[in-house]
This record gives sequence, C-alpha cells and structure tokens, in this order.
Amino acid sequence: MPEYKDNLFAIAFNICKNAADADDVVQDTFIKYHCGNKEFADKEHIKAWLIRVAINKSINVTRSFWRRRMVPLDEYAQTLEFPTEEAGNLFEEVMKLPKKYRIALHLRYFEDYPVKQVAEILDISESNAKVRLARGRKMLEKSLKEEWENE
Amino acid sequence: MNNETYKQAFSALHASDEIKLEHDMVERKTNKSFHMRPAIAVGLCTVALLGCFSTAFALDAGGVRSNILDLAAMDKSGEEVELKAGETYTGETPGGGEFTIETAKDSEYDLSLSSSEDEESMTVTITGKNDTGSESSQVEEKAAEPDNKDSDKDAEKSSGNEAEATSNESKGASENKSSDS
Repeated sequence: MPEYKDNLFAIAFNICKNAADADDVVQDTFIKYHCGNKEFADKEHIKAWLIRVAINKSINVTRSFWRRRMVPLDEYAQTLEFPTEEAGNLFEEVMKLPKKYRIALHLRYFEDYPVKQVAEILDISESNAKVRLARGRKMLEKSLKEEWENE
Repeated sequence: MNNETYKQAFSALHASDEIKLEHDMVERKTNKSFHMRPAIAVGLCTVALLGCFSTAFALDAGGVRSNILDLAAMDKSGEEVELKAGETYTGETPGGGEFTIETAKDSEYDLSLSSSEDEESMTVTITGKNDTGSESSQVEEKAAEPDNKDSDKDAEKSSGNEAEATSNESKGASENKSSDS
C-alpha cells in the first residue's frame, strides 16, 4: 500500500487544491480499503480502485458546505520544490484548469492510464474521455504558450 | 507538454507522514470511531429523555409531578398509632381538613388511618381494649366533605346515627360480655 500513498495524494490534491483535505482523503481511502471485503484480481486492479475511491471522496470534499483548513493554493505551491521551472509553471497552469479536465489529464499523463481506463475510472464514455483530454490539453497549451510569450 | 514534465510537476506532492497505512493502525482508528458513535447516540438519547421528563414534570403531564411528590412525601395511609389513655391525637385528612381524637382515661386504643382515592374522605379504624383486656370493639367511621349544606345535614344525621349505632354496639358488646361472665 505505501507505494500508492503519493499517487492518491496527488490526485486528491489535484481535485481538492488543499493538502490537509488531500491527506484526509488518502487516509479515508485506505480505511475503506482495509474495512471492505472486496476481492481484487491484481495490484493494478487495487490501484485503479483506490484512485477511483480517492477521486469520489475528493469530489465529495469539494462539495461539502464548509471546507476545513483552507490554505491558498499559491501559498502552498511556494513550499513545493519543483525540479525545473517548467514543471512549476505546468503545475500552476494545470491547477487553473476546470476540475473535470484536470482529473482526466492527471490520469492520462501522471498515472499513464490509456484513454479506455481513464473512461472506466471516471465512469464516462471513451469518447467523452477523449474530448476532456483534448480540451484540457488545448487549454493548457494555450495558457502555457501565453506564459512563455509573456516571459 | 509531455508525460515526463507532467510527472515532474506533480511528483513534488507528497502525502503527510501522519497517514496510517498499516492494517492494525487503520483498524484501531476505525474501532475508535465505531465506539464513539454509540456513545454519542446514548448521550444524546439520555439528554433528550431528561428534557422530556423535566418538561412533563414542569407541566405535570399525566399527573407525573403529583405522583412523584406523593411518593417523595411519607405515605401515611395504613399508619398505626398507639394512643395512651387520656391522650389527644390531631391530624389532617387527605382533603386538607383536620380531625381530633380524644381517648377515655381508662382505655387504650390502636388507631389505624387510611386515605381513599378521591382525597375527600378518610376511613378511621379504631381498635380498643380496656385495662383488663377482656373487652374489645371495632368502630369504622367514614368522614366525607360534602359539597353543599343539604349534604352537610345528611352527613350530620348519618354520623349521628353511626355514633348511636356505635354506642349501641359497644353497649350490646358489654352487655353480652357481662351476661357471658
């Protein structure tokens, strides 16, 4: 399980935009895993299930009436250490995208899931997943291009 | 944008070390929350019951307050009092009135008081013995508080009759006793 901790935190942070909430989501996801009696075919199946649960829990957190310990994203981003400046810029621009595009891009480019599995995890059609990925990519390219041009 | 840049960007995110991943740790945490919920539920139920009870007590719903206060006070029905010769006993009827019993100088009485449900009347049972202990008689009187004057008169009449009957009874008893002896 420990190998999936950061993966779950990354997807939870991607949705919640808050480290404390993301930590709670990861903990709750593991509790659900340990308390459930679900049988899994292999490790990949476990990972996909954990990610799906984390996504659902994160969405629930964002929908909740009051969100605890709100720390502005910019403040938290300054505490992160990115290997390159390009990576830092990409992080900031991804976090500005609408939630549904952020999640699809994260599953495709961070978790390396094929489009079909992205669609399965998000419980949407494959074509819908393709559209989300294409739109997200386009918005990201546009914003990054503008940033580079400004620099 | 490529996969590697994206992974570099989000690899900077790390979960807190406080997250428990071990099975027993998670189980302990879930057990704790499992025990907390019933405890909270029981506490809330207790508070709700206390609230309902105090409201009912304050409003005297269903006579709750009266019953409890009656229980808290000494229930004197069926109380036995031994009166010595020449002593006077004064008490209160359940309806709020007063009564006085005076005993003759040469006799000893066991007095038994009991109150009825309507709180307007009271039954008094007196068992007496004289100094020798050879005679005994039992008298039952029912004292009631009538609602109007007519009933007052009726009550006076009936009590007078009862008194006569009582005196006749005791006379008869003494006569019978003397004839036996």
